[in-house]
Order: sequence, then C-alpha cells, then structure tokens
Amino acid sequence: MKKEIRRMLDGNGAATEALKLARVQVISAYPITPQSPIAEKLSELVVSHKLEARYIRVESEHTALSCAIGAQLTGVRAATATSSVGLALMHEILGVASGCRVPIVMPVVNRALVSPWSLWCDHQDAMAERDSGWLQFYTENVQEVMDFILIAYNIAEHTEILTPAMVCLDGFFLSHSTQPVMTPDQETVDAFLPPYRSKNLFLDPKDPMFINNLTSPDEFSEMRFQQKVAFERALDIIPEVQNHFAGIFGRQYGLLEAHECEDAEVVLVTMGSMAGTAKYTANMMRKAGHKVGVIKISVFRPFPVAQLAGLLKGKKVVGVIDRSAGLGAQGGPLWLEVKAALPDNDTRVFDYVAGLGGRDITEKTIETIFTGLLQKVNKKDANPDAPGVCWIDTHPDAMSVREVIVND
Amino acid sequence: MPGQPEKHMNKPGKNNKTRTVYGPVATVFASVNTGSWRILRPGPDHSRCAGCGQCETFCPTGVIEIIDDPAKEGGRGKVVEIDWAYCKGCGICADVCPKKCIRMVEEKKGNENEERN
Repeated sequence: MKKEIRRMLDGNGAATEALKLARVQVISAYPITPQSPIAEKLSELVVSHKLEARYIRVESEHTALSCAIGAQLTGVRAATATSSVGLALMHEILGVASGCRVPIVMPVVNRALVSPWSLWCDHQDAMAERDSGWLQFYTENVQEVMDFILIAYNIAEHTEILTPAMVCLDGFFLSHSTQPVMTPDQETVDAFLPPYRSKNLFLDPKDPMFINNLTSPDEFSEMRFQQKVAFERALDIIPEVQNHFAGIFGRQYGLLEAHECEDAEVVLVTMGSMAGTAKYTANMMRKAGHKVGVIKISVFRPFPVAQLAGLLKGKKVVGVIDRSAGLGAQGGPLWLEVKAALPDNDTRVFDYVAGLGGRDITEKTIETIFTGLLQKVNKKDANPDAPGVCWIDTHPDAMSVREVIVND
Repeated sequence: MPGQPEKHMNKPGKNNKTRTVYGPVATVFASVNTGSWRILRPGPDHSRCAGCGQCETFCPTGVIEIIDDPAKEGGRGKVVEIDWAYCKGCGICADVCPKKCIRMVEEKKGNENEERN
C-alpha cells in the first residue's frame, strides 16, 4: 500500500527528492543558477548519509556528465543536473550518453542561453539539444517534476529504449516555486523502480568492453537507426509506464494533455509551466462564452505526432506558444513540430514567441493570443493568413531599447 | 601490463553464446598495440638509475614499473622496466628523470622488443 506524504517543495527540491528515491549511487553535478539547489541539496544528503552515494566534485558540466556516464556504465544509477550554458557545455557528452545508450535521467532547469546574459527561464537551452538523442519531458508543476523523473527512469532503462532522458522544469517558475507535492515512500518507489543493472554496455574489468570506439561508415547509420527505433518504441512504452505509474500512485499522465479541446474553435499548444496559466485563462474565457482549448505537450522527444493530430483533427485555427526564438527558421521549434503533424490546408497554425529570458507569460498574454485566434476563425482579422511569427509580448520599442552617448 | 591484450582477445565464453548490444562497442582488442606508434624510445641507463620512480609516477600510460634487480647494488638495486607493447615514446619519463639517465633513442623497425641503452 502506498504511503504518500504531502510536502511543500520547490521544483529543485522535488527533483532532488526524486533522485534520492531512485537511489542514485553516484552524483557528479556542477552548480549553475537556477539548478544550484539541486547540486547543493544532493551534497547535503550525501554528507548526512540520508543518501548512500559518492559525490564527485567536478570542474565543469562537461566533466559532470562524463563522470555520470562512466559511473552508470559500472552498473549504478548516476545523477547530474544542469541548466542553460551548463547544458550547452554538455553538448558533446549528451551525444555520448545517448549514442552509448546510457539511460541517465537528468533534470534540466530551463534558462535562456547567452547572449544577452540571463539567469531566467526560457526553453532555448533544452531546444538547442532537442536532437541530441535524449528523451525530453516538460513539466507543468512541481508534482510533475517529482513524478516525471520517477517515470523517466522506468522509460529510459526499458530494454527497448535504453536512452537517456531530460526532465525539464522552468527556471524559477518551477525550480524556485514552492508547491504542495505528494511525495511517495521509498518502499513504493522501490517496487516501481527496481535496483539498476546494466542491460546493454557496461564497464567490468573481468569482462572488458571498449565502449565508444571509432565506428566506420559501414556501421554508423545502423547504430543511429537503433536509436531511431528506440524513439519510435518510446511512443508506445511511455504511455504504458505512465499507466503503470497511475495504477500505483494514482496520478495519470500522458504524452500530452488536452484541456477543453473537444468543442473548441481554437486550440493553443503550450509546454512547461505556461500550460497552467493557459488552462486557467481558457476556463475564464469559456465562462465569457468563448470556445477555447489548450494542449500541453508533456513529451517533446519523441514528439507525439499521431496523438496531437488526432486531437486537432478538424480544428481550423491552432496557436502555438514557443518559449524560444527559433531564429532564422519558419517558426519556433514547437510550431515546426505542430505544423508538420497536421495536414496542409485543413488547419492554419500560428506561432507566438513569448516568455523569453524570464518574461512572465501572463493571463493577459494568453487572452490576447486566444482573442487573435478567434478573430482569425471569424475572419475578422485584417490579415488572417499573414505568414510569420508573432512576438506577442515584445515591447513595440524593441529596436531602440538601448541608447548610448556618442563620444565624438 | 604485458600480455593484457592477448588475455581478452575474442575468447569465447564457456557456452560459446553471444548477445546483441546497442551502440558502439568493441570486445576484440585488435588495435591496442600502441607501442607500434613509437618513433623514439626511452633508453634508461640502468647503471645510473637510482630507482626513484619519478618516471613511473609521470608516465601518462602507466607502462613503467620500478622493479628489484638482484644483480645490482648487492641485491638492493632497482631498475626501470618498460612495457614496450604500450609505450608510445612520448619522452615524459626522460624529461622528468632527476638524474637525466633516460635518453630518447631512435626506434628501429624490426627490433621493437629489444631494449637498448
């Protein structure tokens, strides 16, 4: 019988608790705002013997993930966590973890990438790594941070997946936001998450393997293909694991979540903490008689194409909020996926860039988007088919925000 | 160290079974004889070597061992032993030797395993 305790935790606290419940045995983390409390709390747990693990103090994120890979290959769960430029510094090693099929689960506290320097939330850090061969989960609230990490272990370590996973939580909006969280007991988690054993490659002096050796063009595509197959299988296995989790813990998750979509005239696709605001705003607008709905993408890699297309079938107008700029592309990364998932001509998909570098995505912003989308349905929009991305919350004086004195 | 590659050279297990693994991995160690890369080799002057172990400490591939030499200093002598299968001839041992008694000498093909002073 499960025994859960209701605790007040912030996103970093929930991530730390989830890693502890997964019984990680090696930790190599480098602190970076807003992830630092994860690195700090894990070290406190190790020092106080509340978590029996080795803590490796590393000099960079590049080394943090390298150590985690080496450790996990010896047959233990290894933990690390990062954010922003820290994730960027891991870029090379992310590919080693995924290519060598080392199922590390890593909390990524989303923070903007340079430049401009920012400590605050957007999704560009994780979006820059969307093709790194890692599964990507995005969380809406602190409970999801806890639950998605536990679920991610079960998926990543599945014999048909063997792929590392990022569990993304919005910097500050989730990492530093204290919320009530149902925290499961160790015994129940142990039953859901059995002790780790290496199911594929491993490091053992008695049975040596040379892992990550030079691979010729004869076999490179084949090994990439193995990864592609894993991502395809993940679309089936993720819901299976989520259902298994729901059976034990009573909280049901999916690849995505639909909120008031069935009769909706317009649907807004969201990801991360903004989804809560979007659902709240949709409820308010429904009270005022507007038929609006929200979709929250929980799993971005693999992207749930069929599930999304099914939910949006017959919708004339769909909006997407991208919390990253997608510079030079036809739209932001989430919009590209949504657009490609839907058949041409049936649905018009509009992209809104919002919430960059820590800007709040407010009810007002969401309402403005919904109102604009409704006008497009009713053809009241002056130019309903205008191409391009709408930077919905960017100030109109963007091109002149900084003036300097001319020293002549 | 000597003989390490041969130890694991594609020996079948007891039941001759195989299994499929994903990702880049090798279990046949066919290209580990990094000693073949040498252009220069360290030539220790054993008569002057004090057995201090600096070369052993600093060797980046860990192929140097200080061993007892019963024929030297009434049985208490030490000499340098180098694993030629792995020594790449980087010269760090010669550089750090406090007595400057390791000299880098030209590698000649055909006598890789013959030590010269």
